[in-house]
Amino acid sequence: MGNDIKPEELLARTDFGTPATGWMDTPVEIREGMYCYAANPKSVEYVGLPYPHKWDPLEEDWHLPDNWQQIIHEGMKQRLERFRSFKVFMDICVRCGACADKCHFYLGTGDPKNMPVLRAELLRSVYRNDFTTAGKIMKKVFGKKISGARDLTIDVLKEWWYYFFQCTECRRCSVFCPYGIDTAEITIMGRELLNLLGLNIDWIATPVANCYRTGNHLGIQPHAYKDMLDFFVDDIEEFTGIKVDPPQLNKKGADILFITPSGDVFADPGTYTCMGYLMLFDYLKKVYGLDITWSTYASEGGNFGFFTSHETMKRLNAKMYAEAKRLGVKWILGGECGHMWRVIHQYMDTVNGPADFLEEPVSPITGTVFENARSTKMVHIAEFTADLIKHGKLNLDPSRNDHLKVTFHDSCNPSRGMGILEEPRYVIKNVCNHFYEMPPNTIREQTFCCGSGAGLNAGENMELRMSGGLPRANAVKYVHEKFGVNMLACICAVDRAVFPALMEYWVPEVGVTGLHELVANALVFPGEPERTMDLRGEPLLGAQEDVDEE
Amino acid sequence: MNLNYLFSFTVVVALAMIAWAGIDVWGLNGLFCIAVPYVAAILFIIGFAKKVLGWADSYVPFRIPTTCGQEKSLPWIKQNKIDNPSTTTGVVMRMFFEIVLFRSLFRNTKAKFKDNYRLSYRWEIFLWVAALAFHYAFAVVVLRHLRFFFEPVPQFVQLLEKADSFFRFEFFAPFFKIGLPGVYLSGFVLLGALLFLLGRRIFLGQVRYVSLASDYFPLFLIIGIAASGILMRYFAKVDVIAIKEFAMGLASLHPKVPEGVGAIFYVHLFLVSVLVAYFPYSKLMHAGGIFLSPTRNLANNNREKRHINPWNYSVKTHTYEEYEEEFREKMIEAGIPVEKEQ
Amino acid sequence: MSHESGIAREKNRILKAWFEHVADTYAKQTASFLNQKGDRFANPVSAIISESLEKVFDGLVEDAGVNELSESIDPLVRVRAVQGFSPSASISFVFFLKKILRDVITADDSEVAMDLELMDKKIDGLALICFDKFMECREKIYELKACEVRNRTFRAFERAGLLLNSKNGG
Repeated sequence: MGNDIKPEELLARTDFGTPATGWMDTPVEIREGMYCYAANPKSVEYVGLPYPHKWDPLEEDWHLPDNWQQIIHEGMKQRLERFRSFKVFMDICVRCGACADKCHFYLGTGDPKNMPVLRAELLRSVYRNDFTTAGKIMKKVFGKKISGARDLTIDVLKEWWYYFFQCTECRRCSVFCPYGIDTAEITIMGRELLNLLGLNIDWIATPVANCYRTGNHLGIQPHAYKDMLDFFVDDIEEFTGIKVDPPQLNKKGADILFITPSGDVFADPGTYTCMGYLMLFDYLKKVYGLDITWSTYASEGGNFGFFTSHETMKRLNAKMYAEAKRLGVKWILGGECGHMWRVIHQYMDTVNGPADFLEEPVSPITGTVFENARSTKMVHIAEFTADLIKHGKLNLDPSRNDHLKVTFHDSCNPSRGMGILEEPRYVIKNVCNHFYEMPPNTIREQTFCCGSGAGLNAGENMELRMSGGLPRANAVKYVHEKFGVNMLACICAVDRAVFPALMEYWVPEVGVTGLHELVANALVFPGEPERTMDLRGEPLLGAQEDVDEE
Repeated sequence: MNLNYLFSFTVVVALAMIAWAGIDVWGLNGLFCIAVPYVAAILFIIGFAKKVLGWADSYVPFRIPTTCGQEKSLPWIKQNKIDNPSTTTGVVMRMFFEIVLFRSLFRNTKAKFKDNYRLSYRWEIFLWVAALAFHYAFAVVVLRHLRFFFEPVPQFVQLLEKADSFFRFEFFAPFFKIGLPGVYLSGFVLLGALLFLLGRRIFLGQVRYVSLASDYFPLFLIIGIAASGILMRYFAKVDVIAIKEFAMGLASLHPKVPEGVGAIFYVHLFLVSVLVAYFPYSKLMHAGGIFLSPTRNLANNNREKRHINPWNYSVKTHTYEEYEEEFREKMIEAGIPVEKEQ
Repeated sequence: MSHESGIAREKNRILKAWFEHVADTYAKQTASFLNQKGDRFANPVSAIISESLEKVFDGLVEDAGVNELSESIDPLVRVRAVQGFSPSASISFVFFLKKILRDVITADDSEVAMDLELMDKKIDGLALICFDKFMECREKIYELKACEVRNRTFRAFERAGLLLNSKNGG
C-alpha cells in the first residue's frame, strides 16, 4: 500500500474523498460494522436452499461453485421473464437523480453506492451486458465505461452482496421516482440471485430455519410460547390489578385466529405490546364475548423468508392459512408488524390463497364488515381497534397516558406497501392526550426507515444501523427538543426491536412503544381497581403516592 | 473532465459533420435524405415493438403498487383515491397525473421546512419544471412539424402554431432580424430546458456521478436538433417549400431528394434520424415503460380482490402434522390441544 | 481575556470554509450533496455539521467551558463515529480551523497574533474534547453490539423465568 504517510499528512488524509474514480472503477470495500455475518450453512441446508457452504465475506475466496456465473445468468434470465417489474425497471431508468438523496442509507453513510439509482445500476450494468444487444455492441466498441455495461466478475458479485444487504427495501425512493422504479424490487431480485449461491446473511437464514421448524424466528418451542403468554397474564395482574384469562391456544372452532410477530412475545418492548393485545382481547371477551385464539404453529407473523426469496416467503407464509383452515376459524386478525403486513397485503392471497374456507371478516362486536379484506380475510389490528373506538365500544381513559408525549413513526411497509396511515393515528389520538407529529417530509408515505429492516437488525452491523437510522432519529430528536416527546410509537415489530438501540445512541430520552400498549394503558375494565402504574410498572402521572424517582 | 460527456458531445459533433460531409463533400444525397430516414423509421418501429412486447411478455406475478396515501379501509376514513387507488378509475387518474404532470417528481419539491431554505430546493423545483418544459416543448415542436407532412395543414396544427407564437417579439438590427417569421416559443423553451438538464448533470456532483454516456448523448443530440432547427428558421432561412415537398414525398413513400435547401437542413434531418433510430434501444424508452410500471399502474385493492400469479407453483412447507410430531409431548405437557393424543 | 473581535467578525467566512473542509472528508459526490444544504430533515448530516460547527465556533470565541463545548460538538462527532472513518480522520476536522483562521485573518498586529495563539490553544483543547466524545460514542456502539440482544430478549425471558428452560430445550 505505497509509502507510510507522515504524521503531518494525516490531517490532509480523508478516508473517502480520493481517488475520484467512476463508480464502476471503485472496487467494493467491505467495511467493519457495515455488513452482517455470513449464513450458517446448517440453516441454509435445513430449509433446502441452494448451495449451503461455509464462507466469510472478508476472505478473498467465497468458495463459490465453478459455474457460478452461469447460475446467476440463468437466474437473471428466469426472473426477467417472471417479473415485469424487474424487466421494466432494468430498462427505463433515466438517472435523473430524484431518488439519490431519498435513501436513509445514503443520507446517513454518505456512501454514493447507497444512492438508489446506483444500487440498481449494480445490477443494470450486468443486465446491459448480458441481456441487451445494444449494450453488448457498445461495450465491444467503446468499453465498459462508456457503455455502462460490464461483465459479472467476482468483484461485482461482492459489490452486489455488500449493497443489497445495505438496503432495507423500504420503498422511499419509489415514491419519488417519476416511473415508480422500486429499489425494494431490485434488492429482492438481487438477494434471490445471491441466494442461488448460498450467499445469505446469518441474521436472515437462521430465523428462516427456526421459523420453518418451530413456527417462529427465535426457535421458541410451543411450551415456552405458552409459558411466556402465561407470564404476561401474571405481569398484567401485578401492574394493573386486573386478572385476565390466559389466552386460548390452538383452539378449534374459535371465531378469529390471531397472528403476531414472535418479537412481540419474546423481546422487549414488544412484550408490552403483547400484553396490550392480551388485555384488549380479554376486555372484549368479558364485555362482548369475543372468541379468539392464538396459535403455537403459526406463531410468527413476520416473514424473514421475504428477505431471502419469493419462494421462501411463500413457504413460511403458508402456515397462516393452513392453521386457519385446521382450526376452522372465520377469519384472521394480524398484529402490529411491518413486513409481515407487506406480505399479507400484497402477496399472501396470491401465493397461498384463495382463502375460500374463511368468511368475509366481520367485527363480531361492531358488526362492521371489513370490505377491504374481503378476499384475503385478514384484518390489521389497527383497523380492528380503530373501528371499535369509532363505535364507542371501548371505555378509554387517555389521561393514563399523560406521562407520555407520543410521536408516531410510520413503518415503511404499512405506509408504502399498504397505506395504513390514519388508523393508528386515530387510535393514538383516542388513547393519548399528548400526540405530536414529526415533520411532514419524514412521516406517512415519506417516512424514514428505522435503518434496520429487511433482515438487517443484526448486532455486528451496528454502525450501518445507526447511520441508516440517523434521518429517522434526527426527526425524533427534533420533536423531542421542541415538544418534549418521550415516546416513539410504531406498528412494527422490527421497529420495536431496533429503535431502543437507535434511540439510546441518538436521543436517549425517548422510549419505544407499540400501539396496543398505549391502548391497554387507557382501557378501563369494568370494576377494575384504580391503576397506579402503566404496563411497564412506571408510575402514572397523578398517582404520586409511591413515586420516588423518575 | 468527464469522459462520459466529452464522449457524447464528440459523437454528436461527429454525426453532424458526417451529415454535412455526406452531402456537401461526398454528395451522397440519396443515402442521407432517403435511405437514412427510412432505415431509422424501420429501426424505430421494430425496436419499439420488440421492447414493448418484451415487457408485456413478462408476467406480473404480484400486485405491488407503491402506496403514497391513505388506503381504502373503514368507511369513515378518507381514502387518498389518487395516490392510493383502489379502483381502475383511481389508477387511471394516478397514471394521468404521473404522465401528464410528473406528479412523483413534483413530490421532490414539497414539504419544505422554514429554517434553512436554501439553494438545493430551487434546483429540485427546477428539475420538475425543466422536465415538464422539455417534454411539452418537445411535443409541441414535433406536432408543429406535421405542417410539413400535410397539405392543407391540419386545423389543430395551425391553432398550435398560433398559440406557440402568441408572445410575439421582434428585433431588428442592421445585420440581424428576429421576429420575422413569427417566433415560436417552444423551440427556445426546448433548448433552454435541455441546457438546464445538461447543466444539472454536469454540475451537480451526485448526478454527475451516476450519469452514463447514454445520459448525455440524447441531451447533446436533441440540443443539436433544436439548435439546427432554430438556425434554419431564424437565421439560415432555408427553402421551406422544397422541404415540405421532400417531407410529403417521404411520407407518401415517393421520396425525392430535395434541391438547394442548404447543409444545415441535412444536419438537422440526420440528427433526427439518429434520434429516432436510437430511441427504442435506450433509456428514452421510459416513454413506453412508464405505462407498464407495476408500482404505479395497479390498484391497491390487494386484500379485496385476489391477484393471480400465472406461474405460481406449489412448494414444500412444514406442515402442522410434522410440527406436532416433533413437539407433541411438550405440547401435551403444557396443556396445548393436539390432534393425536398418544 | 481578549474578545477575539476580528475572528468573531469573520464568523461567516470561517464557518463556510470549515464546513467545506468537513464536507471534503466525505466521498467527492457526497461532499457536493452536503454542500447543497437544504432542509435539515432531508439532508440531516449537512444540517448537523453546520449547526454543530457554528455552536462550537461561538463557544470558542465566547470562552465556553468544556461541558458546553462538549455538548456543542456531540452531534457531529456522534455522526462521524458511525460513518466508518478511522479515529484520526473522525476528529481531524478540528485542526482545520487553525489553518482557516490563518487564511482568513491577517495577523498584522501583535494583538491579533495573540488572539490567534489563544485560539490555537482552545482548538487543541477542543481536539481533546472530541477525542473523549469519539471514544464515548464508540464505546456506546460496542455496548449496543454486545448487549442489545441480551437487553431485549433475555431480559424478557429472565422476567418470565424461562432462561434455563430455553437453554436446555432444543
